[in-house]
Amino acid sequence: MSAAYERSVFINCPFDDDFQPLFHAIVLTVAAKGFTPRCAHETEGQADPRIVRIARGLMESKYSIHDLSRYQGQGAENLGRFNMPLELGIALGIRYLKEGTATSHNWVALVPEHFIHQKFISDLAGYDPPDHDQKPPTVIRKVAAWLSMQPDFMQPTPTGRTILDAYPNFCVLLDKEKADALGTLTWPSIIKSALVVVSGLPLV
Amino acid sequence: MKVFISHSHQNGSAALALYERLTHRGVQAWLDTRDLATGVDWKQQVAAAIEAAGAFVVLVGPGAEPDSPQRFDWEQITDHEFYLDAKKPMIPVVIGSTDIPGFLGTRNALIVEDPSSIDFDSLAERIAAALGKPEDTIDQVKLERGRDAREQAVKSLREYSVELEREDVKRAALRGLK
Repeated sequence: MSAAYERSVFINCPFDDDFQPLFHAIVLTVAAKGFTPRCAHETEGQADPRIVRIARGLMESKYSIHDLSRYQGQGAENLGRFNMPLELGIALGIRYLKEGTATSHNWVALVPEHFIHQKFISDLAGYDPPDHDQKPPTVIRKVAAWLSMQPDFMQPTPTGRTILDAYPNFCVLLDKEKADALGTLTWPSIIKSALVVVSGLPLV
Repeated sequence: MKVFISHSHQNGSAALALYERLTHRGVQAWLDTRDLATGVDWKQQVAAAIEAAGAFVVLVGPGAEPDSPQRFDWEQITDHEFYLDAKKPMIPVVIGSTDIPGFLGTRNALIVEDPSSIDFDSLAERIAAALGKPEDTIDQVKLERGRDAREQAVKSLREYSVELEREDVKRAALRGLK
């Protein structure tokens, strides 16, 4: 993909229906803050195994966002999902391997509220990862705050309030894209809709 | 106007020296090592001090990463978007070689090249002068460059979008062939 390395933010989060509003909130915030959102969906259909495609996407991105909301067992067998921590591990590895080089990497893990992550992923102690209440306004605020600390962040920029106000419009566009594609929402459609919304945002 | 001083542990003595010089000049400053009360959650106190602050002095570097307490300062400043308030002077003091966090990118920074020989009197004088002119703490040239970079970023997103659509069409055609 041609997206500039310094502007690429790889999003690693659950893709289930319940998480979708938060995923879309992350995508919109990343785009609104002047970065290019990327994720495993962009290479769907390619022959390489999924983990290889994700690792490649992470390598091509200067930043990555990992959501660790799905920490509880699910389904009849009460199984945990390890994909997110596995992919966060890849990002950590890339960060330390590339430290001090021209293609450094930085990541953030978003965690559930009330410090529960200290029990299920205690090795993140000392990082104080941003937490959220599983609601788009909080996710937008936390992602916007983290991005604004990165050296490639630029001003002027839309405020978090502006992004939050634009979010319903983004959802309407996504619903329309989904309806037009007979119930399927593709990554190109999500990016196209984000571009429409972001292009008209006021900056401060 | 209260001036919040943000620093990492490694800049603790520089922050204290600056605090003393600033208060000597009549500037009301807030520094964790001087103003935190015992027995009360430190995060609550820092968050309240940041919210009440009318200006910020942010010591950055040497090295790339803030430590955990300074990261907390920055999270408060960015989470509440105090850095977007042009009326609040925000003065980065860059010590040695380091990356400046993005939220300070359009602020005029005071550069200290040699961390071992900082002229605190001169630094405090420049900070005190800048506090009186919030508009002068913003670098208009960098802000203009930011506008250009923003346009470039949207263009880059558009190119990525076009590329994705092209790939999507290719994949659909391949599925049709199968």
